[in-house]
Amino acid sequence: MTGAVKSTLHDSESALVAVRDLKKHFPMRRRFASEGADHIKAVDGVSFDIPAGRTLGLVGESGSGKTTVGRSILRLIEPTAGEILFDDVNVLALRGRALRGVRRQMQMVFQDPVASLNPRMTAAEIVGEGLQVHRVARGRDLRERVAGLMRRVGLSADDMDGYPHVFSGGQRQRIGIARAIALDPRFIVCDEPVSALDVSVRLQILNLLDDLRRERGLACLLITHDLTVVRRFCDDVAVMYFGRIVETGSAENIFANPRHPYTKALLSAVPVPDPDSRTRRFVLPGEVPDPLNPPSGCPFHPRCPFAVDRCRTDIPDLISWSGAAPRHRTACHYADQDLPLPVTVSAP
Amino acid sequence: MPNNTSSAVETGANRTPRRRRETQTYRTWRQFRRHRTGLFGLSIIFTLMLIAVSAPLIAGNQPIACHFDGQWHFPALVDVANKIPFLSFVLNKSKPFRFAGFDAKTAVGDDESAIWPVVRYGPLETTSDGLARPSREHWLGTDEVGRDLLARLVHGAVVSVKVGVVSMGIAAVLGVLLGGAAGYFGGWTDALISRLIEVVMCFPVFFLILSIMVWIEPDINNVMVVIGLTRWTGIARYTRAEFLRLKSQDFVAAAVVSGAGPLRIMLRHLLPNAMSPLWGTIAFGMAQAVLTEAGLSWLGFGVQWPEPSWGNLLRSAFEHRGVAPAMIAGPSVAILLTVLAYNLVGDALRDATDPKRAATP
Repeated sequence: MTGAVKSTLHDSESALVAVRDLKKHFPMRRRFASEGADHIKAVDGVSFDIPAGRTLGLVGESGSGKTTVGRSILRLIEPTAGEILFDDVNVLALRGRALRGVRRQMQMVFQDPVASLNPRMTAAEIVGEGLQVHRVARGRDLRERVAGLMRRVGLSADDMDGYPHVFSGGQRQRIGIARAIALDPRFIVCDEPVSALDVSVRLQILNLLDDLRRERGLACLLITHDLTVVRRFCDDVAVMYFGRIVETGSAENIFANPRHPYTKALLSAVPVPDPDSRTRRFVLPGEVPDPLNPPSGCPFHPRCPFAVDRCRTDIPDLISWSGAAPRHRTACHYADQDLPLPVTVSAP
Repeated sequence: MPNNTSSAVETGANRTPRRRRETQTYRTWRQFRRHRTGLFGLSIIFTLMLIAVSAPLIAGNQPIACHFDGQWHFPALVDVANKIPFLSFVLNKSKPFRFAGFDAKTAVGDDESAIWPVVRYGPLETTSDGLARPSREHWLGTDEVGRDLLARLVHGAVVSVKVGVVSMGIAAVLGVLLGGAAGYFGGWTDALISRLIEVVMCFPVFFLILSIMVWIEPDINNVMVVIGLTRWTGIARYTRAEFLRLKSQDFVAAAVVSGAGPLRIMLRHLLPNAMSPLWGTIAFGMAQAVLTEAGLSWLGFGVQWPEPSWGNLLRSAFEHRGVAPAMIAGPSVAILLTVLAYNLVGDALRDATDPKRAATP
């Protein structure tokens, strides 16, 4: 067992998936030496644990590195540094057969239901591919298993010989989910599983994922930018900003008591489905920094309404603060002060 | 999205899609069908291939069926069957017709119990009637030694079909293998193969073949191999680009997560999706190959006299243009139609497999 590391900061004994100081830097070609950084730090030191059977919601704006984290865990992207422990085995050190063995227990549901299904394969071939490759089943047995999976995700077994283009977006995503659970994995990465779908079918797909997760005791990394989804389906939350986790904790604590100004801003932007509601909303000024010219100190300071001199020089660690709930950690120098956001817009 | 199933309520198990089992190939065919010119080209190519396969039944000095010496014989049919591999057991059938010097025409005669090809002359059969004008006996006239030109034209089709299919077959296999490897593996493999493509693309194919034919025996098989060895670059570039585009698609990532190895990913996921734009390129390449062969035979480096090919028919027509100007019609129209047909089919295929053009009629 290579690289089984116990961390004092995290309770890795109970974690099925543990990510340790994950970094992914993309090299940049520079024309002039003066043109800023030569790497884009898409993910810069991310750590988290997912215990068996629990769901972690990874939230953040586009470009914050959420997808890179998800794909790195499955080694679809090779990280620059860090460790990914699955059952205390460092996935990044594995090759060949051992890697395939671990991969079998980790699956992924993709964002785009069109691009994630091979247009030249039937639904049955797509769903059954893993079973075939790992020689779990073949022939009639394979077809029966695939039919069972199709029914489990709410599709008719009569549809199993159809090609992807005859299915609707929601049906395609169901095929993608059937493929992901075919090998009976213990961990699933769901990368924005519903953001490409019609609003009317999103909840059905999320409920299906949630049912499967409960039924099979799956651990799940749910990558999303939709906080309402996180609130409803996740046990824990990690908020990412500019390649780092800025706040993490149980969903309950994060929603009730957010301490990072970025988390607060995100939460204040959640729409409330009540026409009479007059929430006071804070609109975050500026944009995500240019990764070629990262800001000094806290990466959030250019947009932070509370930024002081210290924020421009010191990078805050992701740490617990006085009075924090267990596992609630925030990367802000002033996390313990619970500063109220100023109101920039009175939302209608 | 042309294939929206337009279901208002999505219940997963709903039964909206009609053409459930419709394959990509069938969808391409539906697009192709809308091209009248493409269909026209395809029908010419099919006719041409039919003519090439059944050449002895259309023009030849052997009867298709006859009653001779108290027995039924099918010498022309046997000739066709003998071209099919592994069917050599029919070789020995119709024995008397196999002997050199056996003249079926005089032996069988104009007996009513014989079915003859439309043109009763073989491609190599000489008559005393040299450089004849087109007549009821010789529809396209005869050449300088009295061979029937229609018979030679029909048998010349075999070479044209063979050159197109075999040379582009070699080119397609080479191009897909090299282009696929370059696109999938990237890095050094890609750099190496890409440079090789650039080098081979610089060869002037026609003159390369000419200079090779000086050293080796001028033979149609050699011509086909050389065309194949030089015409794969376009296919390789297409395959490389498609593999590069496809390998970053999510369905490939999903296959990797499912445990699929490189071979399975290439054969099952990349190649089937990369093939469609190749068909157009292959069709254009066939047109090129037919032209190249005709040009070489015209110069005397391709099919060797007296074996017929459209190129050397054109040559002999050219040489006798003063005496028998009608000779030129047959081979030139045949070459024109064939090249046109391949190009029309190529055009239609390109449109039918291009998702951006699919919407326009």
